[in-house]
Amino acid sequence: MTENQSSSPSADGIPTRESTPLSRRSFLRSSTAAGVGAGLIVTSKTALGQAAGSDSDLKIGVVGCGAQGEALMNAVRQLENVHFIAVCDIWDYARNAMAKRLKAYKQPVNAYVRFEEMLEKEKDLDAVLIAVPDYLHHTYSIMAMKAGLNVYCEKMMSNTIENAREMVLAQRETGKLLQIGHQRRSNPRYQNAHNNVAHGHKLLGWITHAYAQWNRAVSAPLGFPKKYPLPPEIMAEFGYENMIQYRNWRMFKKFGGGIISDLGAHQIDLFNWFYKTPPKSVIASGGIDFYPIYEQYDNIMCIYEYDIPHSQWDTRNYIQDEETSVPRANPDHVTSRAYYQVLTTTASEGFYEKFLGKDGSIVINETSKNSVYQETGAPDEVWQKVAAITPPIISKEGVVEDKPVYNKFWEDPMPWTRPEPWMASNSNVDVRVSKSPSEWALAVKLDMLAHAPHLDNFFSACRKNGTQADLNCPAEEGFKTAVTVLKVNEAIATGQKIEFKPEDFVV
Amino acid sequence: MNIASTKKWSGIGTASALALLAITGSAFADKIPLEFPKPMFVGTPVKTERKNLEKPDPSKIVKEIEAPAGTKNIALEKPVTSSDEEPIIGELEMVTDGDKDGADGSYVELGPEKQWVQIDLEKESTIYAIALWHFHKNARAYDDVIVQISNDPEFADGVTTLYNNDDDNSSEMGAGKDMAWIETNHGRVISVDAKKAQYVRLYSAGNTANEMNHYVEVEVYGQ
Repeated sequence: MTENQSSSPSADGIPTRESTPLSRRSFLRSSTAAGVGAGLIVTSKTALGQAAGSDSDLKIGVVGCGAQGEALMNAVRQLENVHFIAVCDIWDYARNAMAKRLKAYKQPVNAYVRFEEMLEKEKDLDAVLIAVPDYLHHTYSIMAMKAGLNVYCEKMMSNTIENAREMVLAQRETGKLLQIGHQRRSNPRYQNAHNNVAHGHKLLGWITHAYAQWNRAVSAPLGFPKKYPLPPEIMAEFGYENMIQYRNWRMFKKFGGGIISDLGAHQIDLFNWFYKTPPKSVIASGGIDFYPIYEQYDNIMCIYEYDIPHSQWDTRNYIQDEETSVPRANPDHVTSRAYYQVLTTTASEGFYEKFLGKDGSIVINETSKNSVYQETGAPDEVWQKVAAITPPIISKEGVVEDKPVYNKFWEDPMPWTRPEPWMASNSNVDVRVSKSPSEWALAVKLDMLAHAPHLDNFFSACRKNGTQADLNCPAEEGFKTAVTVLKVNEAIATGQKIEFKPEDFVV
Repeated sequence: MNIASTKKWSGIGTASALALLAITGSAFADKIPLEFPKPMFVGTPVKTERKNLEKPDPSKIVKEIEAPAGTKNIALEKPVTSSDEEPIIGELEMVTDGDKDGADGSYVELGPEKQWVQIDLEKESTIYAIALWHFHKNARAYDDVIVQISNDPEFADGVTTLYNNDDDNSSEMGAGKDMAWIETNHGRVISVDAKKAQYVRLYSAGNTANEMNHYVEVEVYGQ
């Protein structure tokens, strides 16, 4: 039937420690077999009526049956040897929907209002997925680990740094697994970009800047169905003053860290991952400029600085040519920077991430963007050598080649063609424009739901009684991201540059 | 037609207009504006990829229905039945309750794979257009959307198919050439050429985000 596919192709002996084999019930799409043809597509066919399997299946529960709980449930269904036995949510509208869906998928579950009761009564649970609002992440994660369960906790790890710290401590104390839901770290496309392009073959050279954005259009606050209110005593018990707060918890300080946490957490986590270090400072600007009813900022722009050790991208010396080599000022590191933007009043260009190195840049997102661009000055022989590797890391599949654009003649020693006389009057041609970087496709594709590889990484670790080292986003890494992200709100509030110390990121 | 004087034309009535129609065969008298709910954008975008997916084009949004005078939404508050007797979320009444909001509490979610909802117009009616909102909290496209009308409530005889975007016949009701579309708060209008029927049935088989089926509202413009 299927072969387990390594999710990240290894090349030239470069270790791919972060790749985990995916167990799934189907295999690659018919057009490309592993290692043959242009792109490695990791996929799974969802199969309905895939009943709860054998006793060797992992048995899991989910607490938090809202939109994210549903997304995780759909992703879990793409994986083998794991099924749900329990769901929990304080709101019957969400809880009943989740239970009915799983019943339709032949995974009948027990449904609970209170998480404590679920932990007490469900003795067969191996692990639990936590998809409740952020302010409960630490309480429920710690409760579950102390009850002997492995935990997959959605990002943000928590809405406060202190609560996130407690989660790391509880993980150490109990020895259970705690994975934080920054799912791009397990996504084979992102792993290819990170392990093979940004590092590994270092095709981008020194990545000097990173850029990410999440732009979302104006959207009214979520309402609630009048037929299904939350009982007032439950609202009070959980701290919600009204249904608007309950349904829009992300934007109220008691429950969530706002948009930098809700949306930014994913992409800022990538900055730390690609730079292989948390930042040394952040400045930020934002406000509650558009939505008067929210407590958290509704638009944020921030800039991070990172100290990058020279060994990472060979930055000790500035080499202009074979004869000119000047050591950089700092003997230990160079500075790279990252810009992040999250807006809730425009959908312009949606969400994506860019890693900008002197030799090339990656443009990627969870949906359609999956490219790497080779700068004109990049060492072409290295790129061509990498392009020839199988299974493929980069390829020209689907790329429409650029038309030639005229170079800046005074700085580029590459062949330059004098423009035809008629072009002098053609206002569309600007001879000062650089040749656009040559586009390559990142050759690994993913045809599963976005969370599936990260959940699979977690379940694999569960099955083999693994350790935090088996996880692609263990609690300690999630903690570094939590600090990196949550400090942005403070930077905006104080208007100050926040300087991080290395010990800020360590528990 | 005799035109005695310009005065006669100034108060042109429905009868004359229809008579004109009979001769020229051009536009209907009434333009019924569609009411749109507020747009919503919630959650993380999921890739929407289908072979027959229509590129969104704001200029093609249908904002009004052209039909003879007296046409209205005759599906409003009419009874709805379904292949799924126990919807996962909501109730079947929501399909024709006049509430087009995209939010929770305004839509019904039916189980996975191929499902249908059926509206009983309570008498044979002449239909000019069907306006349909599956789900618009975020962008997705529904698969194997097939819309049929019939006077037979079992849809065994005398069935007319008005729309079919099942390009690969995975729903086994015949392959269709119509396009899949990305759902928005503007819904989707299917023009119907004054066909007569008592029952309207709408099929779908999951969507690009998950395998479930949803209806926010279905309107049937006729008389």
